[in-house]
Amino acid sequence: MSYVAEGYNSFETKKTPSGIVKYLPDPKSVIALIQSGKLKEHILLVQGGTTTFLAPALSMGSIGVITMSGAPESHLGILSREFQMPCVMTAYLTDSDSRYVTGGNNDAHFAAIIKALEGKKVQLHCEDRETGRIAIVS
Amino acid sequence: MTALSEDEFLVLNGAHLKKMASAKELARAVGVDAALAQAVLDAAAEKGLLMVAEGKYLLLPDGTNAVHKFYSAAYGPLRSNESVLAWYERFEVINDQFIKQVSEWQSTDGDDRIQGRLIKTVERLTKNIQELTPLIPRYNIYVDRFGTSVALVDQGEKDYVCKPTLDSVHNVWFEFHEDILSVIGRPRDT
Repeated sequence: MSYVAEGYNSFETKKTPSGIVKYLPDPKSVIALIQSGKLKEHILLVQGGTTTFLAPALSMGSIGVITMSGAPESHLGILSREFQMPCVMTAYLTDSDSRYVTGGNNDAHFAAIIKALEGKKVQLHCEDRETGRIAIVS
Repeated sequence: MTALSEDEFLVLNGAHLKKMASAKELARAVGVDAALAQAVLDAAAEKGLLMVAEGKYLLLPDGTNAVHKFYSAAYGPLRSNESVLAWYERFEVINDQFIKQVSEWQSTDGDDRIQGRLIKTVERLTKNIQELTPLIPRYNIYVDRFGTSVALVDQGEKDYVCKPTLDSVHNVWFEFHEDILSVIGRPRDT
């Protein structure tokens, strides 16, 4: 299987959730998704690992999360393990050399990931201890 | 929009910090009567400040703005108070330590030695919070909540370390972190 993106794995799990990637830039977008009743149809894509506004989505049973920065040792990482919800963190595109830089300007890096993933149906693979992987599902 | 009263702020700030909670959970977390919390939540829902999902309350953007306005008005002077800002810098160090300890605790299935270190970190923060309570009296509730959760962990109730659906140590910490950031007017890293 080929993977479009990968990152740190929050925890090892055999769960392989799949869904349409939905980018959530702010609290308003999280609330809109919850109100739509379609939360469980989506893999959630967010910028940071400390994205506290995701908490309601986690409580409501979101199936998987991809972050573009942040480490498994973060509030979101801790919550993903408690909820046993697969979470790939600081994801990057496997066909690109672009990587997240702490403290740097990552706008173009984030935009490229959003463009590549948003609206696509993906599956998360988090069996590996260190690396979480994202495959496009046709 | 009219400014929030003290009671409205307490309850809606609870929703701001907990992100999603029932009226009962909010009342307990902020130390107000359950009937008062319910009345504030009902009125706020009427005004479009929050929404209800599965019996739990979530602040809507207007509600969050109202809470932030109250923080600015009530705590504006603290945002340039050197001792408060220095306190926060010390907190950042303890916070990093705590997050790592919780992650380690999870990955070792609740190892007792790691748990002991984690609880010591919580006790250190609890002591430090008491330096702020003369300036922010409502922070006494965090001292009480940490005390209750730590006592339960000490009695063997390991769920009170970081289970998201309980008033666990990690949940209380998470809320306190959001609270102090809002007091000093610093947005959390996204």
